[in-house]
Amino acid sequence: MFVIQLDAVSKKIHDRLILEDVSLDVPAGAIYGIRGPNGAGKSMLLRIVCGLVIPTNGTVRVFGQVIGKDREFPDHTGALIDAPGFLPHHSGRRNLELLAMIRRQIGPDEVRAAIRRVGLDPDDRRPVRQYSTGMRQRLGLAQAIMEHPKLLVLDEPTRGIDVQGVKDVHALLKALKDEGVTILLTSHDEVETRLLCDEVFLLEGGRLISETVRASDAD
Amino acid sequence: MRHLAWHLHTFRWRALAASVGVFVLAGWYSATRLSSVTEATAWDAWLLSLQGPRPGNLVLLDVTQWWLLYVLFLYLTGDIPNADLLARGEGLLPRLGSRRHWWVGKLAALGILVMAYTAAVLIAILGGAGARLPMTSVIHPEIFGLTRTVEPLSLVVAVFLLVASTLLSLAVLQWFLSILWRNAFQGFLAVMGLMTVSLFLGMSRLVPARWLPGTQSILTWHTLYDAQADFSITWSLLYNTTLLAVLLAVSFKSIVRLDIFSHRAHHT
Repeated sequence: MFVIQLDAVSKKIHDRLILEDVSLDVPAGAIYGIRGPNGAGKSMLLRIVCGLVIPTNGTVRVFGQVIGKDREFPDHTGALIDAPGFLPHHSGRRNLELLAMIRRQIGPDEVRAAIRRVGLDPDDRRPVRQYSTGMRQRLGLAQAIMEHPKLLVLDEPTRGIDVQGVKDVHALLKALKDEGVTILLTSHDEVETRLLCDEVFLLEGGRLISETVRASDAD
Repeated sequence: MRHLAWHLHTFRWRALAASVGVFVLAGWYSATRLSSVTEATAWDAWLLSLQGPRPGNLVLLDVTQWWLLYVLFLYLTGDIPNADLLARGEGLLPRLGSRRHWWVGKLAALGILVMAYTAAVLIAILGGAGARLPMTSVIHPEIFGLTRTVEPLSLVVAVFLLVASTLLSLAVLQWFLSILWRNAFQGFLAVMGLMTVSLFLGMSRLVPARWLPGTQSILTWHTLYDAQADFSITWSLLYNTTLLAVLLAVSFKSIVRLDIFSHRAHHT
């Protein structure tokens, strides 16, 4: 069963083709990675999967539902795209509690657990504006995982995190995979994608190329 | 509405409260301007602060007092929708379920804020004026050259509705433009520019003032001050309501199909 199915997805913005004819099937329980240079359209692709950007052509299915038709945003999905933003005058925990109040699927204990799981202190009362880039990134991850999603869409999840923190995030993603969570992530780091991902794709010139295919072509 | 709490938390309540403090000073200053008038009351100073600039007579102080209420509010709330969409969009919108839900919640929160801010400003001005002048509930029409006598309470209702409806329509316009252009500062500048153009066109009487957006809150241009003006308070309320209805219709149509990304993000 495929969790994400992209069928010939294209996106044009102001006459600039950002994505061209992108097709991708991500099976349940797998970690799929997308690499590519700056401006390749990685974040845009993740935004399309999350329903935040509407494709110019093509179809996006998540858990079998057509995004933009059956659902505006996919169900059971946590996302972290670009630099995560929060209410700067509230603490990290208060930010997540306010977000959790919208769906009311989880309570304060689960919010605290998610914060602890990404290596932050849920009792830290400092406002988010005093957080470092790495702490904000971790809080963004906590936001993405706190409601126990079945699909995680992560844009450079280790951006701004220190070396030990990167190891922690890798361990977290592997643990989530073991729990059955499907993960689609982007990364600049070839080593990171090879370490974490079951399949890696390269986004180049708006087109998605399987790295496995590229490697076999090179052979 | 479960997500109203979120929207209310996005406002800068402390900065808005501090900006209300400015209007205590405005009321106090208006009271000092009336200190030579023997029978002047705090309500007279209150009206002086809120009446706006006289037509054909550009007094910087009057323009500033009128302008400040809008500039402060629009500046302190202008970037909120873009911060929700562009910085927090992936965490917020899927939880809300749709762009339409988000916009409804945002507008409801804005409505609450506008009413609270307007009420606070009107009270702050009266409080500031009351520090220098007696709080006797009388407005002297001869000080302002009003065409009729007015009860302070009925004027409070009229001023509240005019200020709140003007503020709400301008704030919705600013938010909508900011969202469309993905740039909060451009939205702010556009609305400030529109208010400036309206003010000068109205002042110079090149265009009938009652048709100019933003000028509906300038009391001195209304029939209350000038019987020939053909610019009643009822007209202004209808104008602001119509403008708001048009903005809501256009914005809902655009926002349900909005791509949520920043220009910076789309180059990365």
